[in-house]
Amino acid sequence: MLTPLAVLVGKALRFVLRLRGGGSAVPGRIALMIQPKFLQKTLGRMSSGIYFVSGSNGKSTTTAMLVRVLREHGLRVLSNPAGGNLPQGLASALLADVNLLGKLQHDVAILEVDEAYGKLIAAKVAPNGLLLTNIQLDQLNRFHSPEEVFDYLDDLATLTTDLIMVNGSDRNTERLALKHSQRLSAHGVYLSQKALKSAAHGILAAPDFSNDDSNLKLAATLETAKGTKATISLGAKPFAITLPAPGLHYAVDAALAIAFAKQILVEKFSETMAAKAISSLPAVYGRGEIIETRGQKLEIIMMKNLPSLQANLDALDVSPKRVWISVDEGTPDPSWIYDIDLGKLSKVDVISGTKTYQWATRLAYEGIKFGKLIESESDALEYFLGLPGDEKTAIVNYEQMMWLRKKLGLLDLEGGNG
Amino acid sequence: MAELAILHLYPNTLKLNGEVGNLIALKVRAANFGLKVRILNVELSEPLPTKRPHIVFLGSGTLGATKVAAEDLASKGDLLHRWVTDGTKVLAVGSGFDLISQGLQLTDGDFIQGLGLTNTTHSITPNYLVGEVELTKGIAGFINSNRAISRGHAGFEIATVQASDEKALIGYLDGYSDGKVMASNVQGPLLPMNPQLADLLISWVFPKLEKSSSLRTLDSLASKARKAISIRVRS
Repeated sequence: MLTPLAVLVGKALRFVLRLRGGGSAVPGRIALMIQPKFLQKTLGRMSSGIYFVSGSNGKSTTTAMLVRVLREHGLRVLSNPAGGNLPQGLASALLADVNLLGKLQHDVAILEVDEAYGKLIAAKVAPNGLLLTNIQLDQLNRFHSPEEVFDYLDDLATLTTDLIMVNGSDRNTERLALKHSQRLSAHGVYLSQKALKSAAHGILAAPDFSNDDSNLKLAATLETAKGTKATISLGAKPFAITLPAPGLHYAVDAALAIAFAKQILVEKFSETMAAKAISSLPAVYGRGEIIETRGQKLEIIMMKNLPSLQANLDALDVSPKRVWISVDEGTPDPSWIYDIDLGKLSKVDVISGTKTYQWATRLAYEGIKFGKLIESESDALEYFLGLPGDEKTAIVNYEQMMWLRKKLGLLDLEGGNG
Repeated sequence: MAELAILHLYPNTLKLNGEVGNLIALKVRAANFGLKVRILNVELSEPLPTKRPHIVFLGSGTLGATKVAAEDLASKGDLLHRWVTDGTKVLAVGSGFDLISQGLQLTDGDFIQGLGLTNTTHSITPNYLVGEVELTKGIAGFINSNRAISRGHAGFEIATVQASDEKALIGYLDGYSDGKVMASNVQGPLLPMNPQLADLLISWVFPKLEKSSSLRTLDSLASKARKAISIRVRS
């Protein structure tokens, strides 16, 4: 009886709060207070299992790709929007889909989980499988070191019951999967040398100082990556896919998603359908996304952290003509911008956000010319869109990306249209 | 043209959070002082150069990186000490500071022996102190450290934290400076954000250099960046 009550109260709260605008974790928190086993009762009924996607970068894109491939094969897939990384956020998201008895009409759950918080969800509903994209330098103010991220993901793998798949060319995730290979079916997606060399700075994995050179069972090889084209081999003849945005990092995400989908679907898996699914996927929410506004094309390049910005800069064919950099307190310590190879930027038109002068100092030391320094991002946006030209590039941190999308009238939730 | 030779120790191993920015600042500023700058990189297992550099720089790394660097550094310690005695200056940030200290006490009881170039002994604590900081002497940046530092003699710190969004950092004594060694746990990175320290370090090597007016723009930008931090941590 607790589950229907939790659903009823949670749904009512969710309805009221959404009338006031925006999402909230409150309905989920209340549902969990009424029925502490809410996640188990709802997610535990998935006929094809529950799978988690985590890692430093590429979680959202890989999750979106995996969801798309599974749906292409006819599975009813449940996934979580951004903000659903904590148990209460996930419970809130589930309230949208469960019926009054707490039942979901889905076959499989694909959940993007935060590196640190994933184990909180896993402690409630153990995932059948875990897909790890990478361990990279990310949010040092929060994680302090990639070694700490390794430990978090190690805890998550410990709570996983059957399967782990990782980017095998990332020595840290490979080592993590190897650690669990006695208990879990452990697989690696590897990059060919040609693919590795296709981006100026490779896959930007965090350093690893272990001496283990063992390899995982090969699940897939990313053979080539160039622009939005990639070829992947699952053991037989390589097949081609088209990526939602150019870049080696998106090709790796796609290879991981396809190889993991094959593990879930087993004999039902079709390379043709997987390739079709990936190739029809639009750019994922602020990751290489191009927004049309005022007759201009505004490409959003995310600078979530060093690897994400470097990967996105590496993917540029030519220097962007018009560039706006905007970074706020979502990036409390931007010291890492000194590690970025800024060779792809010939000039920057405007810098904004609370970190305006830290970025300007960086560019000045590099000898890269910049135009206006406007701390107010709203004023900077107006100035930038008023500049001549119809193809422009915004380099923004995650928080500025969210602000910018909202400002330009894009009100969908991240992952909400997965 | 006089030359400034900088040895960057373990550039790929001790590379965590933009530490190379310190070298960029030294390079750009020294060039503006009319110096020809030469940077030599030495990684793990590689020999030190035969010619003594003016400055040795060590960046920061993960604990794993710090351990492998310490192992390698053990075989280089004697020569580095001789260089410092003969006039080489040392700049170290983050775990590079640990490596040139008396040593780093780990939580598992192990002790990483340092070069002993400072009078500080470091230990890892359970909690990180993380926040933007404004220090005395006009210094500002970011601290993200779980090191406790005990000092043999007071008075060698670079500066004291006056304001921070992390209240536990207020009163924190940062770094070490004695005319031969400059070490800090302040990021930003330290020297681009605080060019007065870069100029001080260069002046330890070349005491009579005239500052170029071409650095005014850089200094103004860095000053505004520090001012923005000051406003944030005092709001």
